[in-house]
Amino acid sequence: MKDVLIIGGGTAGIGAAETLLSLGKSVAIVDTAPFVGGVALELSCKGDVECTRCHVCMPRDAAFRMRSSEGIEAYTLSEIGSATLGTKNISLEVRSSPRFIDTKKCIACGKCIAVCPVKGALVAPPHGAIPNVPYLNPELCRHFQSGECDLCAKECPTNAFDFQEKEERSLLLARAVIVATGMDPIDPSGIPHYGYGYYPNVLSSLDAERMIASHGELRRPSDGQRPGKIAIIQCVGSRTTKGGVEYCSKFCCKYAIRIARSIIERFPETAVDFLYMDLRTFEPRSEALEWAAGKKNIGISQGVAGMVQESEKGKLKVRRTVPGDASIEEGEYDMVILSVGARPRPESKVIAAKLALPVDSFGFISRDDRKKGVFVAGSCKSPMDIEESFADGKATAFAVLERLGAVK
Amino acid sequence: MSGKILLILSRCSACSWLDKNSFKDLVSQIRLDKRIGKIIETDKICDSKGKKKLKSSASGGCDRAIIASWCSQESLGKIPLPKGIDPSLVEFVDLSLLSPKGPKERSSPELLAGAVRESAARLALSRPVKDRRIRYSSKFVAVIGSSDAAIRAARALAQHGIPTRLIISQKASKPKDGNIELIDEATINGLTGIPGNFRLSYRRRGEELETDCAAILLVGERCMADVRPPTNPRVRFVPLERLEDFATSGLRVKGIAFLDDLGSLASVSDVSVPLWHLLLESAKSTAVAGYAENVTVIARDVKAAGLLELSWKEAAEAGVKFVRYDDKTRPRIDKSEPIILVKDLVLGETIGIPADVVVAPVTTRPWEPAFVERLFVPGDWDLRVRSRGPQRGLGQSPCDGVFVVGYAGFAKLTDQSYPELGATVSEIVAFMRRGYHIARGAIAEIDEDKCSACNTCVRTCPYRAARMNDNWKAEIVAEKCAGCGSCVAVCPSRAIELKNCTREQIESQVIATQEAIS
Repeated sequence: MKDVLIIGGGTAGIGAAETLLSLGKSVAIVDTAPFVGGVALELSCKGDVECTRCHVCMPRDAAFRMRSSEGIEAYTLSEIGSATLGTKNISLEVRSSPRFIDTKKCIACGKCIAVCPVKGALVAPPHGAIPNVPYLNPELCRHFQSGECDLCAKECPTNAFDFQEKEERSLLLARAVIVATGMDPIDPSGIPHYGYGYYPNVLSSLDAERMIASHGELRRPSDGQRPGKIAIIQCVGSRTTKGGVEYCSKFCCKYAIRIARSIIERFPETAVDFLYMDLRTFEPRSEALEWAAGKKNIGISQGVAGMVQESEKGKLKVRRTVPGDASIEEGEYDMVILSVGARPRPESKVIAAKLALPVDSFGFISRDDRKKGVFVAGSCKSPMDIEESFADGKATAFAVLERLGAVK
Repeated sequence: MSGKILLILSRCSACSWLDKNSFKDLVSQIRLDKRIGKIIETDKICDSKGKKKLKSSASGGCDRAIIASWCSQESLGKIPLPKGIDPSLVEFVDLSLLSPKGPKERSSPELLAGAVRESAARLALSRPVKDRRIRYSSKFVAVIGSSDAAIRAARALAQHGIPTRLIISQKASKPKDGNIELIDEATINGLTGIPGNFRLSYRRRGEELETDCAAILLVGERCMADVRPPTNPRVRFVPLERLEDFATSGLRVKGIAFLDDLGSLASVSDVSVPLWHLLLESAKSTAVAGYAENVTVIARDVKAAGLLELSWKEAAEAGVKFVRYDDKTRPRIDKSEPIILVKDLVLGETIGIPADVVVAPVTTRPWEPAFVERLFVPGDWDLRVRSRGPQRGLGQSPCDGVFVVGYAGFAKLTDQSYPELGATVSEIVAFMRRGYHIARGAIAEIDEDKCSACNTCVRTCPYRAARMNDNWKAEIVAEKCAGCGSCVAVCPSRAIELKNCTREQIESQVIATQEAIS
């Protein structure tokens, strides 16, 4: 019996878990991903010279702090089966896919990853990930594809590998449930005129962040060169009815302007054009503009980007409206970063139906059911950035504590 | 104090790549160091069996220890120490980190021994430090700010059994909750003391008063932006909150304009941000009610973030016009006609917008400069207590026990500041439940003979622990110092040293590194 069950171990889930653990409650986190931590695990720190408050480290460090805590239990690669809402307790069936590595035995020495012949079959846990155990991807692993290889199992000093592991079903009892399923980044290949997936040098902002996080810099995927001129296009998939969502995703301005800043601070010879509709950062806007004002190699300008086309080899032509005379202009760039928004995860709807929660037309959960002990936190309610989502998780956890009667 | 070091060296045969011979090599290399008094070799220290064995072993006259293993300190957990070892003089060396090219690269015994000797060189000169716990002497939390959020915060804290002092600058009626003590019409002067025992001085009706509190929460409030009043007598200014009374009065006007800025003295940035959702709603209802022929929202950016986008669309459908202007040419009111002149961003030309009534922009109220300067490092914080440095946690300022939330930080949407408030209240509850303030043992010390009273450390210290004493020498308040070393780095006369990281220690470590390389 746990005090609180958290569905979704993203930013909001971690915020909630941290508050609950710090006030002496036991917590179980259920997540479909191999690691608890959510999108923040893949993002890059955007403060090179000084902290720009992108808040990526906030959930990561919180997860890292509670990794060794005893009150937390993580069910990764797991889905929610059936749910029963009782008067005092909530019981949830959890189906966990096999991980093939015993999380109790593994000491995360990394020897298995060093011997693995297939790239990507064994993934090292990122900083702050729970559990601190590599993830074995059965779709790439040679053992599951051809049935011969067992190099990792032989190398493992603690015999943590078990290829015979089967799907596990467990019934979890909890006094309250927090739904924190979060959002999914929008796939920009649904918007054909930006050429994502067709031109190799058109990246989504998530691709760019992953590249910066793993390699420390941006390189053009087509030829491995450092880009000289980059365009960052805002509102891709947000504020549109074509291939995206109608609402504003709220966090894209915040992170994209920081990506631009981090690129320029690291490589002053790179020029960045930042094309936006409305700048909706909520920290003082002047901070971004003040920083950009003295620099020649960043252009922050209002104007909707219409189309991306490849001209000669590798160069990308971006057509956009020019503010001031309502004409159309073309610019040439080495790389285009599409600042994608997010939409609520499809799982949200399924889980909301199981817990009898109402869902609005976009798929956001519109209300929680506090009397029955079902709470909703984070960006499955409405679009939120990392800081807000983390705060919302913590605030929800505090409301849960009130219900549990823990705080007098 | 013997100053000799006990080395606990774990073989970690499961994880390490050293065979028997190279391990012997490693031990013999380490033995060359005179600072190491005794070496305990074990098979494993990560399991309970190894830990038990360690506890019963003798220290051999040593008073400090190095624990070297193929594990990080975090995964080792708590290690029991042999008798006679000071727990503050223990260092962990993670030997698995010493392979520069990843787990496949195997570092030599010489390199590993060098790492242990470096650590030993520093540790041999260390002094024991002890953290002190100081109980809170006050049980109150002071909530400062008169917004709705401040009252909510005070109520939430009072509900959880924490007596709260709500300090408000305007006149207010007493709240019903017995745990809330209201101090209205008060302006804050300053803050002294240490976390858990702050003394907050304020002025109320001409009297200078003082109150005690364990923690303070700065909430902030919104106010009308500091704008130039219109010189045109045909244009009226109305605050957003009072628009409704005005609209129901039966008056009909030609044009009404909502402005996010009117040549305000502050930057354009945060003006009207807190009220965007309210602004969109009232613009829409004004348009629907037919109160004015033209309803226009003039803004630098339409900040309808998140699901507010839908209200924006609804407002636009209801007939509200949105005009974006250029940063360089801000909108101004015409001198004779009731018209606002705006340089439209899309058209690129100046257009006139009819407006008899102008809804004034709203912003957050800045704090008294003297108050912020006493709280935080001047220059690093502006008057809305926004730090330029990294944030420690949600709602936390670098000063322990001082929490910053909502409009106190910067202008934000109201629905954004309520989760932040909830999160911060939970942090305050955790802070109050702890019941004691930890005064660090590893603090900065000032050599008074060298100090030239230049005030650099006082200006630099992020924890406000440095101050000038009566003899015009700097001194460090030990209870506040966190041992970050900022003052050591900036002191021009090199008068400051950290108690547990002296120049002597650093120099000896450098020498040990050089020896290991050569």
